[in-house]
This record gives sequence, C-alpha cells and structure tokens, in this order.
Amino acid sequence: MASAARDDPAPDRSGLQAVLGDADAGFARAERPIAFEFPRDHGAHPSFRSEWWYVTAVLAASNGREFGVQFTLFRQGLEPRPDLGAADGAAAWRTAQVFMGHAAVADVQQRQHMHEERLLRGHPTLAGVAATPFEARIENWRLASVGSDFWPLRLQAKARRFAYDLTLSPTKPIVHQGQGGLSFKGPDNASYYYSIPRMAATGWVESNGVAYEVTGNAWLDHEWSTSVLAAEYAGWDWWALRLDDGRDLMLFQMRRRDGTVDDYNAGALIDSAGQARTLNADDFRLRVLDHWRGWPLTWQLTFPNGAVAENLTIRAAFADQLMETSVRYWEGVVHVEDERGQRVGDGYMELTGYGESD
Amino acid sequence: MTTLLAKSQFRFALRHPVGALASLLGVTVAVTALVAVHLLGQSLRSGLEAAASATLGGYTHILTSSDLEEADYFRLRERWRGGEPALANVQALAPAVDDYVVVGGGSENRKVLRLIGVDPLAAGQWLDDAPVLSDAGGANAAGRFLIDDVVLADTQTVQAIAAAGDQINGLPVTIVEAPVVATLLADLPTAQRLLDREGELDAVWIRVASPRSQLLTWLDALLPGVAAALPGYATPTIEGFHVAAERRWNPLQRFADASIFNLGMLALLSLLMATFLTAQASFANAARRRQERQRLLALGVSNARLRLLAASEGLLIGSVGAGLGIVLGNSVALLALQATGNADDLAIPTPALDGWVVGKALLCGSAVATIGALFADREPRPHPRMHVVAAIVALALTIVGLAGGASGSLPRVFAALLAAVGVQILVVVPLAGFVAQKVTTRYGFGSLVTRSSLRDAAGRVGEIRLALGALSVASAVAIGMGLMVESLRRDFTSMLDQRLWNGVHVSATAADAKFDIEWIRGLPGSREVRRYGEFDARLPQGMVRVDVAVLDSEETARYGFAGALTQDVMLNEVGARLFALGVGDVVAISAGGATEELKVAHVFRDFGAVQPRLLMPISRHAPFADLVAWRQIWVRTEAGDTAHLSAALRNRYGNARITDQAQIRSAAMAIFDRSFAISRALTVVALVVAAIGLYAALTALLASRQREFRLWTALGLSGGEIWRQAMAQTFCLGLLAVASAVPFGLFVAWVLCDFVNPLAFGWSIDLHPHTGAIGYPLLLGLAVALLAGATPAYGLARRTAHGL
Repeated sequence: MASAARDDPAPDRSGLQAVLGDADAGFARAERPIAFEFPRDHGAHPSFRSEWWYVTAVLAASNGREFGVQFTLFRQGLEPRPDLGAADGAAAWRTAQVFMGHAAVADVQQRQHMHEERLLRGHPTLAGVAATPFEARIENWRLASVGSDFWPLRLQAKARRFAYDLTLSPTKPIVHQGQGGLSFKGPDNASYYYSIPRMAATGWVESNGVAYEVTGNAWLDHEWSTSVLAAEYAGWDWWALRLDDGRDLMLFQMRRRDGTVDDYNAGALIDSAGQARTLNADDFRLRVLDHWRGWPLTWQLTFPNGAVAENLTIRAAFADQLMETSVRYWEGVVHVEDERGQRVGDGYMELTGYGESD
Repeated sequence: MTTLLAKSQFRFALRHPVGALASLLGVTVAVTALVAVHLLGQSLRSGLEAAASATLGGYTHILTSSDLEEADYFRLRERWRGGEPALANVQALAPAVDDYVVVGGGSENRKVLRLIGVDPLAAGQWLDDAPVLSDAGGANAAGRFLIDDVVLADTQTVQAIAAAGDQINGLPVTIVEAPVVATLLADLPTAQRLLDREGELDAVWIRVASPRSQLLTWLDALLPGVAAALPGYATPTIEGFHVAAERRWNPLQRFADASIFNLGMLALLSLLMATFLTAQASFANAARRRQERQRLLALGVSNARLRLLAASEGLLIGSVGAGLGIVLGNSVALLALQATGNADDLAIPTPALDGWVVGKALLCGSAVATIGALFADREPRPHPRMHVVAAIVALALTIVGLAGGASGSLPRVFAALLAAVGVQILVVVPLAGFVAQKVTTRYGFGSLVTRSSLRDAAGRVGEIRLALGALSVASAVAIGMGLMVESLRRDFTSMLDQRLWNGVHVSATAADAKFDIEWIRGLPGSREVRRYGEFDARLPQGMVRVDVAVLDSEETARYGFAGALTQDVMLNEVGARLFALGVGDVVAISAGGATEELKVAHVFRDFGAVQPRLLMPISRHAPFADLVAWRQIWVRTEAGDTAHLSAALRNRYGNARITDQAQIRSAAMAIFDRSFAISRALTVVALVVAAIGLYAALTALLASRQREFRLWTALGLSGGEIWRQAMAQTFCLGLLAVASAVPFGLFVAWVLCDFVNPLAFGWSIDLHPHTGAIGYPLLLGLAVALLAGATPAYGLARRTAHGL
C-alpha cells in the first residue's frame, strides 16, 4: 500500500508528475474487480501506469536488538506497452518503464534510520520485474523467489551504510484488499491491491558495518493503478500492524485538504487463521496524540463498531524515520500499545504529504 | 547621560565630516565590489553551465578505456554497487557515446555534427530535473526522450535537420529544440542507432561527491569566485579506466572558472583597499577624539559606554554604506554585462539581487565599519614583536604559495600575493620610513622648518602606515598590471606578426564550403590559396580541436617552428599545459571511430585561445576525412591593398566572413584592449580609494601638528609657507609610498606573467620592461598623494593663521 509516488498533489513535487504526463495516455484503469491470477499477477502490469512492490519487516536479533527493514520498488510506465524483451543492445535500452527503489534499515536501539534511493530505466541488466520465477529488482536490491516456485522469497539489499538479506516464508494466505482486490482511493480513483501479511522472516541485517542474525515478521504489498491521487487530497497515512495475539491490521486514511474524514478510508483485519475482514471508514477512528516536527507520530486508534475490542495507541519506535528521498515521506517502525500502555504489537507506518512545522 | 554622549558624538561627526564620509565611502566601495562580483559571477556561471551540455546531470569525471562496451559499463556498476572502495565517492554512473553524425545530403547541405548519447536516468534524477530537457519542452519531451528517437538540438541545427527531411544518417528522428544544447543530444539507444554503433560506448560519465562541497558552497556564497579555482573533488583512480575531470573536457567551464576566480580576486583587492580605508578613517577619527575621550573618562563615563557609542556610529555608517553599495553594485553588474554583451553562443542571464546577497552585503558592510570603529577606539600601542611575527608568517606564506611554480595552483598563488601585501604594509613601508627617518636625521635639507617637516613625516610613517601601505599596494598593483599587460601586448603583437600573412582570410559558415580555388588563384593580387579544415576529436585526456592544413615550412613558421611537418603535429600551449604534454609526446587522437597516434613536434603560443588546439598535417588526416569541415581559406597576396581582392571574394561568397590582415589585427587588438580596460579601470579605482584613505590620514596627522605650526606662525611664517611645508611633508610621504611600490610592483608583474596567466589561461608571457608601465603609476600615485594632502594642508594653514 505504500506509495511515495502519490503522496503529495503539489504539481512540482518530484518531477514524477512531469514524467507521467497529465493525460492517462491510453493506460488501463482499475475500475472493476478482477480475478487475480498467480503467479502472473505477482509480476508487472505494464498496461497500468504505476505499480509498486513493497516489503516491510520488524525484526529482532538474538540479543534483543530491534530492526525495521523497508524495500520498495516503484514502476512508472511512460507508455502502455511491455518492454521489447531484448537481453542487450539498443532494444534492451528502449524501455517504456522507469524504476525507483527505496531501501531502508531502522536501527531502533541506536535510533538511527538509514535509507537510500535508486532511479533507473527498465533494462534487463539494471532494473525490472519478472513474474516467473518472480523477481523485482533494481541492480543488487532484489525481492525474488529462491527457486522456481514463488515461495520462499529472498529479500536482499546492499547500500553504503546498511545491508540486509532475509528469507521470507508465508504464514497466512494472500489478502485481497478492498472489494476483491479493487481498492478505492476516491470516487474516480482505484487500484488493484493485495497483501501478504505476517511472512516469517529470517536472515541478517547489517547496520554500520556490523551484521546481526535476525528473525521476525514481514508484510508485502503489491498494488497497481493508473489514476493518481485526486487534487482534493493532501496526503495519505497507512499502517500495517502485527498484533501479538496473531491478528494483523492494515489501515489507510486519505487526508482531505479541508480536514474532513474521507469515505474511502479503509482497512482489513486479518485473524490468526488468515481470514480477512474489510474495514470501512466507519469501522475505525484515528486521532493524533503527538507530533514531531509536524509529523504525527503517535495515534489513538479506536473501533466504534467493536471490530477490535480495545483502543490501541500507535507510537513511532523513534521519531526520525524520514525518507529524505526525491519524494519526502515518513516510513518507519511503530509499536502498538493497549490501554494500559503495554506493548501488544508492532508494525510499520507511512505518512505522506506533511510539511515540517515544529 | 547616553543621550548627551550621543549628541556629542553626532556634533563631532558634523564638525568633522571627513572621517565619517571616508568610512562611509570605504564601506560603500567594499560592498559595491562584493555585490557586483557576486552578481556577475552568478550570471556568468549560470550562463556557462547552461551552455555546457556535458554538465547534464552534474557529472564530474569522464572514464574512457580502449574498446569500451556496454558490458564494461555494467561490470563497473556492479563494482560500484558492490562497494569497491575506489568507487566509494561516486554518486552516479552514466554510459555515453560521443561521436559525429552526418546530416543532410549532397555536398551543399551536408553537415557533420557532434552527437552525444547518454542515459539521462542514470544521473539518479527524474528526467525533467535535467535543465536541458525541461527547457526543451517540459514533461512530454522528457518522457518521449526515452521512448522515441528524440534528438535535442539548437535552433540553427533544428533548421538544418528539418531541411534534410528530419533525418540523421538516413534515419527519421524527432527533433526538439533546446536552445542551450551546443551539440546534438539524444538518449543512449537513439544515439547508438543513429551512429550505427549498437552496444558500443565511448565513455562512462561519473559524478563524484565532494567531501568539501558544503564548505566550497559557503565560500563561494561568501566571496564568489574564490571557490571556482579550488578543486571541488578528488579525481579517483579506477582500475581499467582512464579518468579525466569533466572540466578538462569542457574548456568553456575552465574558462568560466578562471574568469570568475579572477573577478573574485579583484573583488578581494577592492575589499582589502576598502578595509584599509575604513580602518584608517576610523583611526584618524579616534585620534582626533582622543582628548575628548580622556575628558569623558575623567568625568566618569565608562569605557564600555564609549565603545558602545563608537560601535553604534560604526553600525550606522556601515548600514548606510552597505545600502549604497548594494544599489551601486547592482548597477555596476548590469552595466558590465551590457558593456561586454552576450557572446553569440552564450546567453548570460541578467543578474538579480536576492536575499542572500543583500544580507551578506549588509552584514559585511556593518561588520567592517563596526569592528573598525571598536578597534580604532583603543589607544595605539605598538606591537613590534607581533609585527615581526606577522611579517615572518606573511613572508613564509608568500614563499610557500609560489613554491609550486607554474604547475602549482591559482589559490596558492593568490594567497601568496595577499601575504605579500601584508609584507609590503608590515615590513617594506615602515622600513622605508625608518630609512627616511635616519636620512633626515643625519642629513639636513632646506630651512629649519623644512627639516622639521621632513623629520616629522619620516617619524609618522608608522602612525599612518595603513594609508601609506594602501597607496603603496595600489600603486604596485597598477605597476604590476601595467607591466603584465604591456608584456602580453608585446608577445601578442609578435604572435600576430608571425601568424598573419598578407592577404585575405575567408571563413564560410557551411561545413563543406565550395571554394573555387582556381578562380581565386586567378584574381588580381592573389599569390597563393591555402585551405584549412577543422574537426573535434578526443584525446584520452580530453577534447581537442584539430586544424588540418598543409604544414610546409612557411605554414609552421607562423607558429614558430622551423621546417615542414608531414607526420607530426603541433599543439597549442593551452592543450600542452592542460594535458601535461610536451614535444616528443605521442597523442592518440580519436574521432568518428578512428584513432591515430601522432607525435607532438612543437608547442605554440596561442593567446586568446581557451581550448586545446592541435595542428595536423594534411597527409595524416585521411582517417578523419569525413569529419573535417573545410570552411576556411587564406588568400595570400603581396604586401599592399587587398580591397579589390576582398570585394571580388565578397561578391562571389556573400555569406562568408571575409577579413583582411589589417582587419584581423585591428579586431584582435580591439578585443585585447577591451579585455584589459576593466583591469586598468580597477587599478585607477584602487588608487583613488587609497587617496581618500590618505586624505583622512593626513587630515588627522596635520591637525595634530597644529600647535607646532602656531609656533612657527608666531615666529613669522606665513600661511602660504605653512601650506608649502605641509605639502612638502605630504610629497615626502607620497614619494615614500610609491617608491616602495616599485619592487612590489615588479613582484606582482612577475607573479602575473609567470604564475597567474599560465595557471588561469594556459598562456605564458615573457616579462618585458616598460618605462611607461612603471612611470605612469608612480606619477599617478604621487599626484594622488598630493591631491589628498592639498586640502588638509590648506585647512591647516588657514586654521593656524586664524588661531593666532
């Protein structure tokens, strides 16, 4: 669900709008539910303009040290056609796809957030996505199937100040978000969206030159669409939370410029067996409890209709988890607390379209 | 109490406006220079950077290797992403082809154009963040750059390609106009296809992070130009590749750096002079008020309060001066740009004041005046030891700065010059004063009054050393600049004599101009016709322009070489210095897929040239024959009038530029004189500023002698005689300053000829003695000193007589 690309409707925000152009230019639109077909739909959908594969993980080392890991690969189509399929030469360069990768490690104990961005054209040697065997990569950052089957997945990234190598295995089935995978972001805007919650993650994370063996849980989102965020929205907040009782929770809220709650806020509550229940705007309420430099980092989450019995507090594990990339946003580890202040879960939060104020 | 003190301060300023006005003028001059250079520097830089297409994406170095292929690029990326230490500071890598394409058909319309193909996304920024793409039509052009065969070109080339049916090498293309593009620019696969070179690369461009970039940015913002000559990044060593700094490939960029740096240095000189002036005015002011200050202290006014008042006055003067300086500086920058005009291929944007420059100007102006006022308020205490230590440090800095010779660095040389200024003020001028004092003590000249005046003058050198030092430095700079300019003029003239044959030079706009050589030979007065071709080529070290001609002994003699050349080449001094090449070295010239190795037989002077140039004998040009644009001929004649010949050629080749030897010479000299007019003007300004400082200093000096002169008047001396005595004293002080300027002026000339010019422009100049270049500044300096002293002397004479 993460989309740094759609966070801020300001026309000059990153150049992305300029690359995308104003018109849909013949791209397909997400308008009605479709039957997802895997492994095909794990791959790219070049007939749609925008697409992303997004993994976050909250991990613990054997000494108790906590880490967060993020990997996002964005695809933006310049025109609605697949690449020519050439392995090299001019045809391999002649792409209609642009890829942007974001990778980050949050070292919670050190309160250190390290991140990097890459931007490249689609090219068999540089960046691209394949469905079978699955691979989404931008140079040596890759999320890929280990063998010919989709599972297990391996997530690797090496940057200047951090690196990670994780093996991801499923514990719950794929969740189709929204109406059978069609997730509305407004009256005229929607995307196709599925998630894979609570994947078991094992491997290592390197922070400041030291590698740590880690285990934990990861979340994968894959989403594709053509329509961009409508002008009346100021930004977007998103959470993927893992509760200790085995339940998972995904929530997003679209922030209107006039400050009102949007009808298209939505979410999903996934029980420990993997059964998902769709949450609509009336099923949950979010209230900001605390800010850091204008970014709301502590939230109270309530469920008026009793979807979850207790009120929860979502608190950033530490404040500065800003992604200072070509699109600026906050993406980081959060802890979930119950009404008594006890930690009852963790996860990731994404905040977009905020300006720093204090 | 404070109000009373403020009133007293205000009344004093009204009674003695000279000091306040001198301070105001100093601050105004300093801020004017600062603002003008900042604005000019920024405008020049943005104009040049926009014009330099190779800076797309901010690449800093160019990597080449033999038989470079795409696979080498991908392997290099893997090494980079894998964390190879040698590539640790690399921020971006981009593959590039850099070659020539043929546009248009038939000999009339055929054009050979340079085409650069690069992957724009490899810079790690969105397409439309690259200025060249956004200028070329915004978002849609940026997106299409990747998916279509889009080629960016300047207006003239767009028309040429349109005339050729929007085809390059017979392949259809979409041409998008981008005014700042000096060459054709396309996406990598587009360029490879148009060149029929799929899978091949000519270079990998890299962007290296500068660990000092923030410091340099701040330095550049504080004093524009200074950072331009400092290396912004270290050149990495990358196994398997030859690494060259991008600026070596881009002579325009180097020229911009050198120009901006020199402008920055002139601003620094102005700032220095203005600081002398402000400090001297403040000292003079404080000296006048010393008695009043003692009284106030005796009355119980605290030192801190007095200082606060002095600082407030300084702040007020500084703010007003800074305001005036901002307005004047802006006007000077606009006028300078209007006067120089825009070059044909370079659009320099109009400078605009911004918050940063206004803030900086206000801060500098008020700080100089306030600090000057605060320090001046202190009792003068000689610190001979401090002076000796400072002088030794300055001397050491001068020696170290020049130790690298002509292969050193510009900043070191300028640091040495600034340190030498310190030596001049701290050592040379006081030493001259000391010698004068000894001479005047031992030997008597003229009447008792005259002897007293001369001894007093010699004894007061230390008291007004700043003003004398400023005059001495200004005179020395004028001498140095004058000697350098006259030396360059002499060398330049002899180069023109050597280079220019009698006759007419014809330069066509078409790349393959069709000159009817037989017809031209038959024209009355025509003795011989020579053709000249040109093309751009690559050396491993950087880009070079290659001129092709018959290099017989007559032709080579034009470049100072004896004998004909059929195998070897001649290289200009700019190229030799830039690429560290010399006679006997072998250069590998690559262009259009061909590479030839040629030996350098001679290095020739090429004043005015900013880019490397190589002369190739026509017998070696075959591998590059398709690239050569034969657009120039020289029609040699016997000495005499060429008007008829020019008229006939103009009739036949109306579109060509036809100039005879005299026109070329006068145009070259006009450019020369115009180029150095600004330097001369600045040295005169420096002298005037020094004169104002001296005026303030002499006013205070002569005021302190009022009691003594009253005694002389009581003994029968007339007002006129007092004026003459005061003027004699001023003359002696002025003579002392300008005489001590001569050795320093010679030193400045030597540094300019042997260090600054070779390092900044690649030209070496022989220092020639020139009486006028030394005598004129000496006379001017002396006249300026006398002018500065005339009014205070008159005032003294009048007041002394009146006082009786």
